[in-house]
Amino acid sequence: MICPNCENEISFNDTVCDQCGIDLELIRTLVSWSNIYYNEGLERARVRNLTGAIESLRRSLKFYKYNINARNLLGLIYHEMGETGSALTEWVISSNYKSGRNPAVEYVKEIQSDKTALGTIDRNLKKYNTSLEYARNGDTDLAIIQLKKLVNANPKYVQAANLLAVLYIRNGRKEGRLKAYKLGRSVLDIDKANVVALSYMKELDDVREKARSRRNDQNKAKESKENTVKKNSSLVEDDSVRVIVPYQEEKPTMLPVLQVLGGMILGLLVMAFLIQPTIDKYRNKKNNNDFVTYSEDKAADDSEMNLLKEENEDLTQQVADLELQVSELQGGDPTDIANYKKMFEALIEAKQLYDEGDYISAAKKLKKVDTKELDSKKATKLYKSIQSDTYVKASESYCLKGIDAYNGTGDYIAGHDYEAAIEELLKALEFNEENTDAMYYLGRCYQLTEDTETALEYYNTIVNDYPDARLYNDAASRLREMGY
Amino acid sequence: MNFEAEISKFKPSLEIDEVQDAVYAQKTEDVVDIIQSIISEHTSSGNSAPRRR
Repeated sequence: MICPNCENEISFNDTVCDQCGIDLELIRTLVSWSNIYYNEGLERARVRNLTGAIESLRRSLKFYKYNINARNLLGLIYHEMGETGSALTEWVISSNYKSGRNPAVEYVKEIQSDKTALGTIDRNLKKYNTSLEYARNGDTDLAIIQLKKLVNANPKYVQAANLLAVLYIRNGRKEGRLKAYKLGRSVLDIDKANVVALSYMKELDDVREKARSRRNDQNKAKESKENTVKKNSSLVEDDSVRVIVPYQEEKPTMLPVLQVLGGMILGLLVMAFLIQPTIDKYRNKKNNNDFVTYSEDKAADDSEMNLLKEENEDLTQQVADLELQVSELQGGDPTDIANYKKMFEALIEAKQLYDEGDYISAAKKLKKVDTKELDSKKATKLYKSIQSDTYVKASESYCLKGIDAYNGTGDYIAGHDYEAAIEELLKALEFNEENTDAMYYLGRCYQLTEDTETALEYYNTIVNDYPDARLYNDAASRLREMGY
Repeated sequence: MNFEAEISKFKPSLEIDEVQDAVYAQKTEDVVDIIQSIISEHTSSGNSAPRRR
């Protein structure tokens, strides 16, 4: 039990509280009274006298509010009668008094965990309260409509059922009174001593009588039926073993054999006329499909065969042409063959060097290729694809080297080397005779080495033939400088 | 049947959102509390009585 002074948990047999030291003897007497009422409430609840149980349990709690069992049971009874709000109140108070090993904690958790169900319960409670308001205001029809739905969904909601029954009785209709009677019966099944139900059930004595007489009639009808059954059956002692039929051996007949044979013949006929044709039809269809597929495949194979034949003929011709070429080559001057081979090798190597970006080396290789000897279209095409680009780039590379030699930069960091510059720049012109930069710097080199005539040639070429040259103005300026 | 009298017997149900207020409004005094307060009054007038915190 709980100490009423300090709310500490104590044993019922303690005489003094360990925590606060209060004398527990008088309190134990009061707690005993509380328990007596609790036991009374429990007994009443067991026999479904819920109204009586509520009364006993309230008294129990008046004596001792910490009677957890009484409070929990009170909550259960409220819940059984559809008063979930009141039930939750008792359980919450109970769990506040004792939080450990208290079923009320679980009850509260169970109800609150299902939000949807809790919402439905709350709506039902509100509906009942609204209906009660309607009834008090005289809107009995509205109240009945609401309550009908409520009671159908919650047949254990005692107050709602009672209110509906009272409203039916007030309406005065015959079927209403019957419904009220049924509602009253269902309420009394839940709460045998429900005061409200008992009071309006008294009003429905006539309905009760009718129901009773109907029940009697039904019982009588049932009894008479049972009697009729009993009459038609053979008279035997109640506790005797009844002999049904003595065992008789059947006489052997041909009938079963004939039945089996007939069945077999019938089955064969069904097979022959119904099942077999279907099987044959299916088989034929499958064969036809297979044949069609085979024909299609064969046609495809034939077509492929023709293509292969044509390709073979083509290849054979190519081989023949090549053999002819080879034989011509082999038949010709062996030196020619070696030169032809070298030429092709040079072409291939030039292509490789070009792809690597070594344009000077690529250009040198290409110079070895005699284009007049190239009678292969592919080789000519290859040669042309790399020649122009390679030569231009090789010319630029030589030009840059020449400029380095002229300026005394790069590889010529030691100082100007006009001789080397002229050499490189001439190579640049060899690969690209329109390299105006190379022309200009050649003019400069010749001017500085006092070969004025050659210098003038280069400057004039730029000024006369290449007005868009990058170094046009420079060339013109050098000419003026030289007095031209 | 007196309808009005019967209707008056019906009390509204406690709704879920009213539970908290109902818990706080519960009378917390039981017979034990009453007896204790009587005893404590008696004690304070000089007689022996069980100690109260």
